Amino acid sequence: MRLLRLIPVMVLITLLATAAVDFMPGSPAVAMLGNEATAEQVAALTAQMGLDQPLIVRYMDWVAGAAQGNLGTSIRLDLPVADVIAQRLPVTIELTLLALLIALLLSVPTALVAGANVGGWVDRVASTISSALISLPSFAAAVILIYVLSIRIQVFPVSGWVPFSQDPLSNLQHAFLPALVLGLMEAAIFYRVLRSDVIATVRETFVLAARARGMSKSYVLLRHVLRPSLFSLITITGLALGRLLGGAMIVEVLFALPGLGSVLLQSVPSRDIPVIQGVVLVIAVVYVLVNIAVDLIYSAVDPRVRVRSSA
Amino acid sequence: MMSHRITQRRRWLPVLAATIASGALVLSGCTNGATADPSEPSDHTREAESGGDLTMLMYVPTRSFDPADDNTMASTGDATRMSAIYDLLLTLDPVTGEVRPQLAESMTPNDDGSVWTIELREGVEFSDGTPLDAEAVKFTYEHIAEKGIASQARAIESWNMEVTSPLTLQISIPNANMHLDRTVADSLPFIVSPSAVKADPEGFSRAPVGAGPFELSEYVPDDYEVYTVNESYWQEGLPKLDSLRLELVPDAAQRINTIASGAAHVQAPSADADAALLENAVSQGLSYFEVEQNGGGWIYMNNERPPFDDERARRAMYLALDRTELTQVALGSPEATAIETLFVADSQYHEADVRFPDPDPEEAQRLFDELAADGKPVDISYINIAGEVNSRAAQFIQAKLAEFENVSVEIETLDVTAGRERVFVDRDYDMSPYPGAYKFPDPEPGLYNLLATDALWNTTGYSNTEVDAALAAARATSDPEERREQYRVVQERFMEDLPGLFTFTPTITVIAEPSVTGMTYNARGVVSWPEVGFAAE
Repeated sequence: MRLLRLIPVMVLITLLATAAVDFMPGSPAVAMLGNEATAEQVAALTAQMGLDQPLIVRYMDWVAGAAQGNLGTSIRLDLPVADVIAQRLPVTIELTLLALLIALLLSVPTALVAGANVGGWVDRVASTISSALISLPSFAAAVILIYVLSIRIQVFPVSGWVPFSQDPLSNLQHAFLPALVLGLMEAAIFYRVLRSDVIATVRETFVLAARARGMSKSYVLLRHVLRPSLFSLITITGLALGRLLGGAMIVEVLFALPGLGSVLLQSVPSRDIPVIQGVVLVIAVVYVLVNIAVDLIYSAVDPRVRVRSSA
Repeated sequence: MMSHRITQRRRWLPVLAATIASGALVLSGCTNGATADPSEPSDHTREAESGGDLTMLMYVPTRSFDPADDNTMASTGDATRMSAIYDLLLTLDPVTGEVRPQLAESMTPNDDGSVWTIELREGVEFSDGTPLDAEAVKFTYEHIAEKGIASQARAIESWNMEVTSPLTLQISIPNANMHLDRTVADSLPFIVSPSAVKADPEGFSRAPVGAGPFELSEYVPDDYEVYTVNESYWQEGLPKLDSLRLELVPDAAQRINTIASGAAHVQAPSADADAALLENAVSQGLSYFEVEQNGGGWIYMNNERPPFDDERARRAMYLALDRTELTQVALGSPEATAIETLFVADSQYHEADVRFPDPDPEEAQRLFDELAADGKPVDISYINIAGEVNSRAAQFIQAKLAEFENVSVEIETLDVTAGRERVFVDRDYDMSPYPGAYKFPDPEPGLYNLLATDALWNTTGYSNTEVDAALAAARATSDPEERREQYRVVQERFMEDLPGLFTFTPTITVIAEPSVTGMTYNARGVVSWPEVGFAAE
């Protein structure tokens, strides 16, 4: 049932994207013909591309094609939109997942330790850093990291991409810095949420009982405190994935990575409507699917959610 | 005329500050303003060693490798990519405007400039083995005319082309032109393999075949291309490089950072003269060299509708605006100067006494008042094309004109596509900047295309019979004195009519890692690749 929700969301989003592009001044024909195009040439090319049809007619044509897996042909690249997206999507997804992994690896252990030792040095240092990271815009973090790690120390490339299949090590080298930029702010948010839940959980009686039974502090933290403290983190991880997906597209521009963000950026000035529609569709699908997945994971982790939803 | 600058100094704080400031503006495509820091000269004409893999950073995505699809011949776009694949038939020197042979041995006119003969080199082949002969050149120009996108497509339709021998093509043109070779070198330098186009007409734009120094071996749209040496290239021992990679990095600051980090070597030559970018490059150990050209930063005024259909309104702009201040604000450099004459001092057409009007605020106000009293108030819609230099110029003009009465400026900022439609296609504007700068090493074809009635780039709608006659007379003669006389007339009438606003001196600027050398380019800044490489340590 949840998957059926996809359909109206897709329709609404792609229609809005199409309409938004339609209302922008400047046509694909002008982008193709250039400065010395005459009004007659522009009109002729516009008609040839079928762009003189009303919005709703063009949209319905596109929907009919999309329903059969045909997302059209890029006006600018003269390639099937599905191929353009297939080539770009792995970069954006890898960046998003790597950023999420970095955020979790940085935040979960730190929040566990800080939450269990409120006021301790780990708590104080980590809380200060997390405040700073939340306040720091990602583009500012990016330029500082680029300057230090790419230009000065030259351990990571400033821009460019190597596919994982071609050279896994080089791929990670290219992906790490953008993923770090993306993941840092999420790590700070994750840390704050998890720390707060850990503080509440360690006061629960079952935790105190476990400690009273002589179990080690680290064992109790991992076996008794972590799981019940994860609910909020799971929820915001879902939201974060959407945020990271959007953020990845911006970071792709900053690092000149060949993902969906950069293809979208190139497609807007040339009014490449089929590519814009296709990319928006894919983002919307991924976003909705991620949210459904989060709901399912949440109910798997917390039985109370299952009971409530089946009641 | 030509300056070369380099530095190896590393200064942490200013560099970090420049990086942060420029990076903070990456998303809007902007850079900060600062002062350039010129230092010791670098010789970018050193001979390159053989070997090496060079990466050049490009500004805009690849649209097509078919010359019939390129309407701008911009160095920052497809033309520099095509130059690697096709080489250049002729080259047009960016400073002198002299035409030099490359793939063609010569291009010469008959006595009256109505018939031109292209003689090709013997033994030149496309990388697929097809001979580059007169039939191939004819086929290419017919292919361009048929597609109808390239800037010269309409002109070619009026040509009568005849292959008179395997290596000789005769082109008959309807109106005498003793300088058609400049048009060919400027806008029609790339020749395609006819057999490759015929074999795959649809796919050719992505799988090009030329007779240039390199072959396209890998193409990832919107990302990069790799070119490997064309083993059958006609110039023995060339190209110098083993391979070439052209990579898309749209943001200016990011391009400089990428070169500074060692991940690339050079960015495509451009007319981008923003002082902050150059300082950022120099402070990171990069070198840059630039060539000044005739022409200038150019702001169209629409001569076809009020208020600029009245010469007084156009003159009032020149009198009201201090163009030196305008130039300094636009380029972000207190050292920048405005052009005073249409041709730079080194040009044979330079007329020191035919100058743009000096600012005169009182006279400007008098003209604004006079126009208002005649029921023609100067209320201007300024279509700004997004970009830092353009935006700073637009804001300066708006702020300066606000100091006067009976004049107002409303700025509307559009991206390039929307701006093109408004200005070039719909002609629905009062003032608008030309993207970059309008430059012409020789008045043919550049000045002709800007000022002749109904010419290609005459977006102001300017029309003056004396100017048309002088441009036509100059086009019809190769006598230097006669040309100079005619262009003097053009300059004098220009200064009377002032159809548009010229601002700063245009340059072709190359920013590179210091070992890059051998880079030459044509008047548009399109790179000629055979000699490009790395200098010995």
